[in-house]
Amino acid sequence: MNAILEVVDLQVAYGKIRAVKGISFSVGEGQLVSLIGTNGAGKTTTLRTVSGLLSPTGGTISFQGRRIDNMPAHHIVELGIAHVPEGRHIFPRMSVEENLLLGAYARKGQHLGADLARVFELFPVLQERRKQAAGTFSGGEQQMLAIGRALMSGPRLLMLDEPSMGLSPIIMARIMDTLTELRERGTTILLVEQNAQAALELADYGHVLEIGRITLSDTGANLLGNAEVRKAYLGED
Amino acid sequence: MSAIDSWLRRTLGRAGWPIALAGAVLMAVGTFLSWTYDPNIVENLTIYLYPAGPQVYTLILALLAVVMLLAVRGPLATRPLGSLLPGGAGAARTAGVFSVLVVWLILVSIAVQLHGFVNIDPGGWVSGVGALALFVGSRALPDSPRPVLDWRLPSAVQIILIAVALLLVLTAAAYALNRSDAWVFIDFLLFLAGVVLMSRNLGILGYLADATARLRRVTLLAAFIVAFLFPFTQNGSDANMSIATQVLIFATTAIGLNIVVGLAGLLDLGYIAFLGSGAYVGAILSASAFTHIHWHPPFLVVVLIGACVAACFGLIIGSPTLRVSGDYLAIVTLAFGEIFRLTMNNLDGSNGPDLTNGPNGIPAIPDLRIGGFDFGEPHTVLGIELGRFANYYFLLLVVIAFVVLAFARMNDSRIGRGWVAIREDERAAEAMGVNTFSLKLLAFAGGAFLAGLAGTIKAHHDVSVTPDQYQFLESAFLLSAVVLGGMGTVGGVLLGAVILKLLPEKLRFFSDYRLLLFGLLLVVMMRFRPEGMLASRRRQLELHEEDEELAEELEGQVADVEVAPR
Ligand SMILES: Nc1ncnc2c1ncn2[C@@H]1O[C@H](COP(=O)(O)OP(=O)(O)O)[C@@H](O)[C@H]1O
Ligand SMILES: [Mg+2]
Repeated sequence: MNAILEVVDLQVAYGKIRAVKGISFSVGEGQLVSLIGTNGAGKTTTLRTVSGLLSPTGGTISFQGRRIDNMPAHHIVELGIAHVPEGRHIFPRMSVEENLLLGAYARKGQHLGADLARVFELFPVLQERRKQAAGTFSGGEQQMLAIGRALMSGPRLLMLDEPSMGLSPIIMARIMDTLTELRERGTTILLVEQNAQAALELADYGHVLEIGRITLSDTGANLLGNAEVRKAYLGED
Repeated sequence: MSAIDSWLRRTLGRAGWPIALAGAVLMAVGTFLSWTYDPNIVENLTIYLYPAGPQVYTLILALLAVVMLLAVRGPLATRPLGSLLPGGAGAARTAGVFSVLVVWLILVSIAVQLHGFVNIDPGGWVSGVGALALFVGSRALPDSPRPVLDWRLPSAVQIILIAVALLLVLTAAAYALNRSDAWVFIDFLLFLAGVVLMSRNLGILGYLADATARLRRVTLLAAFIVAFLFPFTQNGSDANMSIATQVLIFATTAIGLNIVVGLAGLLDLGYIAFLGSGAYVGAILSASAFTHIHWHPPFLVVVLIGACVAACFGLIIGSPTLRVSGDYLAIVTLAFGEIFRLTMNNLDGSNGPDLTNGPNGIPAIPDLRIGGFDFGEPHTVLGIELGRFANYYFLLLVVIAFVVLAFARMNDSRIGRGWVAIREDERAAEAMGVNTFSLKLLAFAGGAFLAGLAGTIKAHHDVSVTPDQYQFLESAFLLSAVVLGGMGTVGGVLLGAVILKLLPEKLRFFSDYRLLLFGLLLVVMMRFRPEGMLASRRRQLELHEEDEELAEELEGQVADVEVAPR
């Protein structure tokens, strides 16, 4: 399997605070890879660096064989990496449709009707409320919109930062189902989660991130069975 | 206010309506009597049975109030009037407030100018008491919600309505400009505000706003035609044309600032320096005997150079500061404004090159000459003389038309959507692939370009360029025009520019209190209508988030009006 995203010895710092201290992982074409870790482990920092929103202090990031570290964010989106940010960050005073069209901002002047239809098929709620201001939505609906918006850029790699944050278990299950569906359709996904159970159930491969370092890497199933992981992340003793 | 209202409602009960009606009638009667003995102040209010100036405003307000009151109660209320004017009670209340303001401002001015209230004649007292009665009585009227008119008129009729409204605006502007007495001028503005707010109570303003939004192009065209006609109403009078031309220069600059502040959401506190850069380029490259550069290219080249110099300054300031958070930009632009002024003050040859003559500036800049057309020469068109200022006025109108078109195109384009996204959530915009830095720089430098362009024209119009024309206060005024009129909309900014430039010109009388007046005006605006007078739908939503009703009302429209068709 050839890797679509290859991260080697990545280091990122905020001033003197080293948030990511040399991590390496890769995501294969069509895979769903999960990064799990507690709060402050460096998950968001890693995703933001891959998206070009932060610059690494060391290491390399390659996407489809091309170096993308130090590329500006808008080029990276154009190359085909979409980022669903932590906390959703939808545009609250824009309508659903405007939000979705902005997701396709990087695709200059292409016909988007088919893509809109695909998102609406995935999330029928969005179609019903396409003219409504997004800020009036519930957390779950906003998360669906954030995912839909990311899909509008027609990504080769979809990165999600804690999509389950603040959602009820039912809505969370619904979001995870969507991710399964997307993967079955062939979308490559990099999923960041604190909720290890849900993330590892779906994952082909998983990495455990602890204070800026990867401490464990294995298939999702193996990590779920791993005693240490169960103890540290799934609350068992 | 509402506490007073409910107290009045309780004490007066159903007596409010007759009190208000009696008050309105008294007001009307008073206007036919003399208000004072001195015919030389506040226009001539001494003649019996012949209302003048402020008395006419009072009479109109009184008659409008009577109609509104009859629509609320009485024999006519059910059939013809009540159904035609569903917002009558609200309009009557507004009439009450503005009657008091309009009448008592004049009474106070008589007392001030003639030293004492004893100089007010019975007519003044009759109208004054009537206005108070109308105010108190109308407060006790039951509430009526502001109606939404759903007249389904053919668009031709709508266009005619818009045209009539614009002609009324033109007439009011021409009339206001001709008021030489500052008290009467303010009184007229108050009267105008009252009438506009009353039409809002009746739903007419809302209907017009919707119609203009639907027929945006027609409205724009009509507005330009009206503006184009304005010089022909002035009979070659230079005084008003000079003011009107200054308003247009100010407006062009404010539209440029609006791109920076209103569309991209960047706070620029030194914008006047870009206007100054253009003006200095225009002056230095002009044929003035006081410049030390003896190269006088044709004006179209000068305009381009002036605009580009300003845009380059914009790039130089923008590129380091726009990468960091917005607060830095405010500080850096504030500093740039001062640095520009001080530099122009000191480039007089004693330290460095002699470019600007220092504090004396560059005087005796000759009039513009484009092709064979000399802007200093008056021309006669259709028997009406159009003077020097009218020439500049038309040139500026063309520039503004061009800018408005460019502005509209940009706003509806991908760039415009990017700007909206940046204002909403810059982080998210960046993650969606919006090149936030370039878009902000584009807005910043584009705004500077426009200011530079306006500056080159301003230099010739003003005849001289000095550093103290470009001080911080001017930047503050420009920013106020944008905020007051309505950020992000061209119409709003034009309106703000007109108000902020016109008021100081007409109120020289109050010169010491001018800043105080502006301060008050801004505070009142921020309290009651923070989105500005003519706000875009989206901006209204941004500033009234807690207002659920408005949010629901606007939701559909925001999406309908502003989603770019694909
Ligand atoms: N903007 C910032 N400035 C300084 N330190 C930060 C910033 N953002 C995150 N950090 C620090 O970097 C580390 C990793 O944070 P983050 O990537 O947000 O973790 P996670 O997403 O796994 O919760 C934490 O120690 C956090 O305090
Ligand atoms: Mg995080």
